[in-house]
Amino acid sequence: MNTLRDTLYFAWTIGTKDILDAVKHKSSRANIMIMVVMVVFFYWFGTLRPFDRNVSVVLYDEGNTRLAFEPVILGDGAKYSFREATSLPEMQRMMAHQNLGLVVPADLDQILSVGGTPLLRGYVFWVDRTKAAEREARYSQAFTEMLGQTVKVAIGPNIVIPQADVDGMPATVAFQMVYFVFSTALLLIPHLMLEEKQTRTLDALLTSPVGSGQVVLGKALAGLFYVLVIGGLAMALFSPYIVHWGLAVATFLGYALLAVALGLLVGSLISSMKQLGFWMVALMLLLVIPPLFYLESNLKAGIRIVLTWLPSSALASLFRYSCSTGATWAQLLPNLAIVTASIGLVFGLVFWRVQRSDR
Amino acid sequence: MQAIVARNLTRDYDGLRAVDGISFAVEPGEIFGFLGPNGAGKTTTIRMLTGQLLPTCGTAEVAGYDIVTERQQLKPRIGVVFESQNLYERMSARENLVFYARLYRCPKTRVDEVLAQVGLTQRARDKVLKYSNGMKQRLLIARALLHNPQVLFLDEPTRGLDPHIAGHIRGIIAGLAKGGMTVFLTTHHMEEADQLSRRVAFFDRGRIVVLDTPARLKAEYGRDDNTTLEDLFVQLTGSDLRRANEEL
Repeated sequence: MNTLRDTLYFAWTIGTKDILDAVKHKSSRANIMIMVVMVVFFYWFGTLRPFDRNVSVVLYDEGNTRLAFEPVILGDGAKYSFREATSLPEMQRMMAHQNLGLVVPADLDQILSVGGTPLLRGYVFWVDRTKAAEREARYSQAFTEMLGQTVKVAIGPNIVIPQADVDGMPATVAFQMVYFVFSTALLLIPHLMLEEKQTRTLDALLTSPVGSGQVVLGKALAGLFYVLVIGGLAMALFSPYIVHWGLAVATFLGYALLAVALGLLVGSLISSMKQLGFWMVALMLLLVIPPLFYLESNLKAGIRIVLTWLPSSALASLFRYSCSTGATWAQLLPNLAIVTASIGLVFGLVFWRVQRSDR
Repeated sequence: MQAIVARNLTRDYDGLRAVDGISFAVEPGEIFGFLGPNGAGKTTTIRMLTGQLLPTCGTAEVAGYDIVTERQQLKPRIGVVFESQNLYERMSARENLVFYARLYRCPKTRVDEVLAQVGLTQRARDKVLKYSNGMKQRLLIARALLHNPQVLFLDEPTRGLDPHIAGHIRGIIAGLAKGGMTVFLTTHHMEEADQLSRRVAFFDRGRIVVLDTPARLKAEYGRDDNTTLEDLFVQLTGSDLRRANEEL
């Protein structure tokens, strides 16, 4: 009987062999680079949006002033549009898709009429917390231009953490994590098993002192390498959005383990590249696309109930909660249970498949 | 203690009996030729004896270990040269062997020893992709010898090789047996089996038809003094094929 130490040794030996092989092999390197470019591109295009000069503002007018803010394009080309909230909490909630929350003081009209400098309280998202000073200057300048006299926008500690149940960037980030991690796993990991089967090197491995479980663990280790490189890059890029690091890291680990298990399961089920293509499309449709809809708040209840059971939906929810506030244990625990059970089930299936080829 | 003992070893695949209750024993240091036509069940037998496949019924012990219940103890004591050239082709010969040396926990010096033993030292750093069939076959043997197994299973080790390389490999096999290693050999080259094996078993449709030394088999079943092992093989095995020919 192999001890735990033996198991870890064999898994490490097989895993490092595969990782070195991937690093040396041109097509593996090219696949990793494709995924890296994809992550960086989606982050730049979908999250940073450097070309987007529009500023959406949610106003809460404390004194119901006579001032009406209309959409305006300023001298620097930035377009400002406005929506109105009836209370401060509503303003914070409505900020889901907006850049700036602005509290208009009750005495704004009076201050403006005497030529004073009104102070508008600005609110920005958690992700912009490090840019508060820069935003203060930018918005002060913008509203000075809009109102034709000096205005000061003060942000200070007014940082809004997104609510767990509203749409917005946390949902976008959570979906992108699902997409990157699962795409990486499905693109790269099945080859680890498929090649061993196609070249029959799996037979040689299984007549060596290595057991089938240790082969799976070794492959999982190599798979984790891919997922940690790509998912780790995505996680690093999205780190400014993360509010609860413990939950975020645990969820990332969940993403990684489930993705690796799925990649290995596909690799153990298929015997050709053609079959791999079919499985990739099927799993992308079944697991990767649904969270996109699941994270939308206006999804029909019936569809939501079905999608709730998907581990990828559960993972996306958990990652969204790690980038927001207000999630309860009642929201967290079912998702954690679905993810944990799915990881166990899929790894169990992989062990079973490899054990069958073993005997 | 015998190196291999099989008792009523049987394996069914989807209702078809691939190996049908075979029993035999192989002595330590013996080269045992296991000869049969294509599809007779040779590879299935090897897969059972090496612990890759569970027997449907019957038992076997290899190097003193039960192939079902003591598989983990059995594995370090056997070496297998598979019918397919199952090597990591993107890796060099040396990298292949270093990887397996780590799995068998052999010292790295052993890699150089086996490379020298099969004559691949000069090309050890080349990728296996660039190897000829003969070189790959020698590398497979080197891999199987890394951990100095008590019993070596060779599944058609000279198939498709030119006579020079085949002769070189036969030399290696003979040398191993002289050193005390037990060799279980399947081959379609009857001359090779005759030259190397102390005893041979003719195997057909999952059963052992005859088992003895080549000399005794020729004496008992041969038509004259010039009868070769190949003549006997054709005479005693392949009944299905003969029947089909007669019908034609």
